[in-house]
Amino acid sequence: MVHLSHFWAMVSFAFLVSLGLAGLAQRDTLGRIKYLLWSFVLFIGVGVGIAWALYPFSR
Amino acid sequence: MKETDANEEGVSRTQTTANRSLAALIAAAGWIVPGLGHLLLGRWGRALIFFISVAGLSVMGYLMRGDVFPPHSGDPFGTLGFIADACSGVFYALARWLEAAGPDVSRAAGDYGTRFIAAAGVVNLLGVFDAYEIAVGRRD
Repeated sequence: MVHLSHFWAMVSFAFLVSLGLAGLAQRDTLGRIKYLLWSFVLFIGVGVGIAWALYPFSR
Repeated sequence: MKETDANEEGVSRTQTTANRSLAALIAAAGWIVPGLGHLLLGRWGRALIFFISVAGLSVMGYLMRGDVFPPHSGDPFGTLGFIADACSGVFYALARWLEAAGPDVSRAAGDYGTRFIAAAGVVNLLGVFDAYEIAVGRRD
């Protein structure tokens, strides 16, 4: 049983999905690392952005 | 001359069918064990990446007590969920052992876990298509 906060659930999801997509999209190791980092940053950025935009409606 | 062309065309068609059959077997292997299709094709790096990604998403989803959709759920959403979950192959079959306590979607973690398990299936499905495309020679 794992108790993850919302943030760490998002981080682990973003990392694992980005890893799969990087493996699919790129052939070389360096390309995969760059793709993984870029995809991960976008996942987190979009997630935090949506959370920030919806924050006023949560109260 | 025409007879030779016809023979070559026949041989080519037979080879294409054999390649597609082999590719389908490789794709099936990749569906059952994530990454196995790529491993059979000698792409061990890609095989390892897909295995870690799918296994990580599945196991974390089960540990977070996400919902696992059964085959006969009775509604379209449940059927879609079952298709996504079942695409993770052996990890779907291992759900009852990995999630012995059963799902708990009354908490946010359980709800997130449901998405992790479905995402594992979708990532594996992409891997299966990729292995098939490589096996038939349509992709490097």
